[in-house]
Amino acid sequence: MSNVRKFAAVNVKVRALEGQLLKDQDYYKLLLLDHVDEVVDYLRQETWYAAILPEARKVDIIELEGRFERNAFEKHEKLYHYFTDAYREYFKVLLMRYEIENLKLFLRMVIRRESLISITDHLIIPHIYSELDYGKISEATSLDELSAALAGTEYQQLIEYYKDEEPTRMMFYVEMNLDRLYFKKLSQRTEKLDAADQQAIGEVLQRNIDMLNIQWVYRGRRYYQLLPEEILNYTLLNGKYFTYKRLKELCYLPSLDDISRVLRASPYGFMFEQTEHFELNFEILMDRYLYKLFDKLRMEYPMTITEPMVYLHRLEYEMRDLFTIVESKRYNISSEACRKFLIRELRG
Amino acid sequence: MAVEKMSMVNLVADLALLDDVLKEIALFERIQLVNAYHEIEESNFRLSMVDENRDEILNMCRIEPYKTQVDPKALMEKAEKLLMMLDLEKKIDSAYLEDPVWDWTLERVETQIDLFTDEVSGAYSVLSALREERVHLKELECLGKLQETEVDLEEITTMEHFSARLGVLSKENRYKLSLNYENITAVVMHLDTIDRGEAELIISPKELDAETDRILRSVYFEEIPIPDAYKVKAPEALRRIRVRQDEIEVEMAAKLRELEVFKRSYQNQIQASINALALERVKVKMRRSIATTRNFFYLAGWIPERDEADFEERVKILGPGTIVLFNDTSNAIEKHTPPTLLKNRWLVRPFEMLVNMYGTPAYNETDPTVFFGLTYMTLFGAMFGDLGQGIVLFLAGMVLTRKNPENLYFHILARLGISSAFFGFFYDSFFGYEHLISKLFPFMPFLRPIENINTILGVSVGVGVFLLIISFAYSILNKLRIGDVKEGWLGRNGVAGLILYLTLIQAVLNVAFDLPGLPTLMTVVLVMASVGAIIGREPLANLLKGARPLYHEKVSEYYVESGFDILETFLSFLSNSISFIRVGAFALNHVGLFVAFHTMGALIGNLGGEILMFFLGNLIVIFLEGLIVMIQGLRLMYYELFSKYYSGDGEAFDPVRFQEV
Repeated sequence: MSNVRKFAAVNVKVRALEGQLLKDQDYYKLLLLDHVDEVVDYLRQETWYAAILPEARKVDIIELEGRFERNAFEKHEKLYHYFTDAYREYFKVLLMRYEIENLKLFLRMVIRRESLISITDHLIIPHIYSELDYGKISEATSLDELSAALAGTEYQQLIEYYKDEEPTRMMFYVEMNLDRLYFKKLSQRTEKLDAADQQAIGEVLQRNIDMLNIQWVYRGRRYYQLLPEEILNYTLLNGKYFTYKRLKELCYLPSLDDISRVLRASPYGFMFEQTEHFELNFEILMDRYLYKLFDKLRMEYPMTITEPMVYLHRLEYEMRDLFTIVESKRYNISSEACRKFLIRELRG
Repeated sequence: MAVEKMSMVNLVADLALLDDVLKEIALFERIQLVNAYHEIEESNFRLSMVDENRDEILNMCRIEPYKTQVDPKALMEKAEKLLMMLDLEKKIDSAYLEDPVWDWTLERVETQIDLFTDEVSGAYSVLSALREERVHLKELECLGKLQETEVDLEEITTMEHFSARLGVLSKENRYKLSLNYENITAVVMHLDTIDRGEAELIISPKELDAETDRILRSVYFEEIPIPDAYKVKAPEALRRIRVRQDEIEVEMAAKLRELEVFKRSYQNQIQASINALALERVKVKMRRSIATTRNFFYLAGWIPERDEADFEERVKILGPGTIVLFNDTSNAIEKHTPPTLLKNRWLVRPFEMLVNMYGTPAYNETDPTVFFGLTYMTLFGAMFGDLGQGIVLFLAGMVLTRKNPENLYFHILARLGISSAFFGFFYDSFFGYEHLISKLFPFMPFLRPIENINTILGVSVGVGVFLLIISFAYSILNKLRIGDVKEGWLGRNGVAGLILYLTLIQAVLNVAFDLPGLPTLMTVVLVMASVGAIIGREPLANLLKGARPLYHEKVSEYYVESGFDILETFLSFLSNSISFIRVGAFALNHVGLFVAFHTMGALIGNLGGEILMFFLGNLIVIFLEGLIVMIQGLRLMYYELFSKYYSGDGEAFDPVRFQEV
């Protein structure tokens, strides 16, 4: 099927949806506001977000964030319906992300002995992708029960492998494995797309995998003392710069300082320059990098799957920036400081 | 031939009779329940004020929705598990419920199912254990690869400083591990490829067990336990595996026989339980729409009028004192519209599906199925007229219908075939050969499309005009029936529109064909008057009804909109009528295609070529052109005709049915 036939409709839709995103101007104005309520008012009066905010009512932060999240999810589901065949499958696997996030949340709550029933109503459940029995899962009160509720899924085995570890270590292991599973499926699905799309998306995917791999190596080594053999086995093999050979060298370096040195010299050195708020910056820098990469690819590969992908990522980043802005108002953080934590880089 | 008359049935009976009544309704399958509690709240529930109804009426003030009930879902799951264990298919059949022998209470069902499950589960768990063991042994067969080493498995699994384990790795992870062998704290020995992946024997120093465990976990290693009985020398282990495998087959066969015997003697009881449970689940759904007091229950629903007596008789038998009342729908319509059940004769009944595809007729709307069915058949036949091919379509339709009586498309196909054959006869066309039929029946009048091009095209437009006039009639009837003066009398699809259309048609005939018509002055007056009526329909209708204000929007806006509307009316008159020319065009096209195939046959120049072209041509025409004509016909019906008169915003009648919930 020709690219025009495949993407004409969805790209028009994407253009229309992109019109709903915030402009730099909006960001400047939002940063200068003092209070969460003012942010809500601004969004309601000046932006498209009026459509998802209730009219003339106070909205608390939890509800606000919930509405943003649901909006992003619904847009994603909407785009899914524009595709067929391999492309549809690809978009379906992208929805797996929501399931993975839900599972991580469940795990954390079970470890903290909190009841899952309280949150199941607020969860975003990707019915297009998911076959989990959320009713059964929400009744779980312990790791064993959660594992039993996941019986028959690929997730159960993961929990079984690590359930005897100390909780924070276990979380690291399981979260890493869940992300790994998602990226593995995504890679498999990408291979089914047309050559041009594979190239366009593949680049992002490989870079993303690079960054995940170095994150795992770094954190596994720094906080959890994983064995080099072990961490090497967990890494994903289809990275762009960090091929198996480079990864192996990285894993077997004698000390953390050596690792930092090598990473700083790599194309991802920018992620390791700052020392302050290291973990937090790590993610933001990674997202900024991908954001720019997407913009570049969009120019290089017109009429490919990049358009909807760029949109989905922009929407996601905008949502997270809005979280950051809202939280900064809540904790009285200055607009200058807040700006550093935004994924979008504002000019001037 | 129309929309079936519905009435509202209101039923009050002793609470003790509830189950029996619900069962009767579920098996009756002709009642669509509505929420009785709402009905009573809104005072739609009518009981006549006679003395014998006193208790029931007095009770109504303490009424509430039915609350307590247990969904037998869990029990159903148990029953389904029983079916699974016995490898039985679920059979939902109301015959079980109508037979008093199998008419069981829930308690009885529960004890039965528990009893059967107890009986069966012993044998079944042995069977599943055997199945698991069979899979396990199949995996252990990989130990056979150690045969040549003569290694004693007992010895290697009980070494003092080394531990050995057997397990599976995925192909990908095995590769990954192999890339890093030099750093691994274990010896990895590949044995065999099995269903789950690659079987590996891993031997590592006991001191490094913790590290080895973590490394193996990172490649998702899954251990295969080796039972003590097989911890011997490898050849002997393999021999024992084979012996045990044979034993398992024998044991499994015995258990299967045991289950088979059980199945044969009790399957009726089990199916009866399943049916009782299925009914109970339907009842659970029904109970949500009933209301109760301490002694009585109240129930409301739609029933086709002709089933009233039948239903009353069936319910009255159940117990004395049951009150059944049927309310005419005429006064209920304002509150809520009854659902639509279409009733048509066999000839056009399958076309109900095509009508429903566009929209279910509203209860007070005229059912267009007859008009639709007859017109669709006519148009199809006219466009695809061929005696031979028509018969082929008819036979195909009949054969497929026989095989698959549920599928209405096949019924439609057969009817279209008849129509095609009928027209084909008069078109003098048999599998594309013209002048064949006329030789057999020389005295019949024939109309060969290709020889009468102008006649065919003219007649198609004429037929189109005729059909449009009928649509006008439908539209006017439908609108006046619901008291819509504005659109019915003055609208573009109302009386004013019809007058305008007819006047224009006669003027065209008069000018173009010199046929006698109305005097020019009268024509002008009629056109002006009807155009005026359509433009000013809102204020005029309000004047007639005496309603104020005259306009519901700005006066200027109304007239601008109305002005464009009249322009569009003229355009659509023209386009709707001309649109029917395609009927003639396709009739010509049909012949034209065959001329092409005949020519190709002649070009090949031998008998084989002619025959080949004959079959190829007919095949292509039947499948390709048949499909196109079917779609074109549907398009004419939906777009030119339905859009004029049919709204299709009704709700289909959906009675309670005895089926899987």
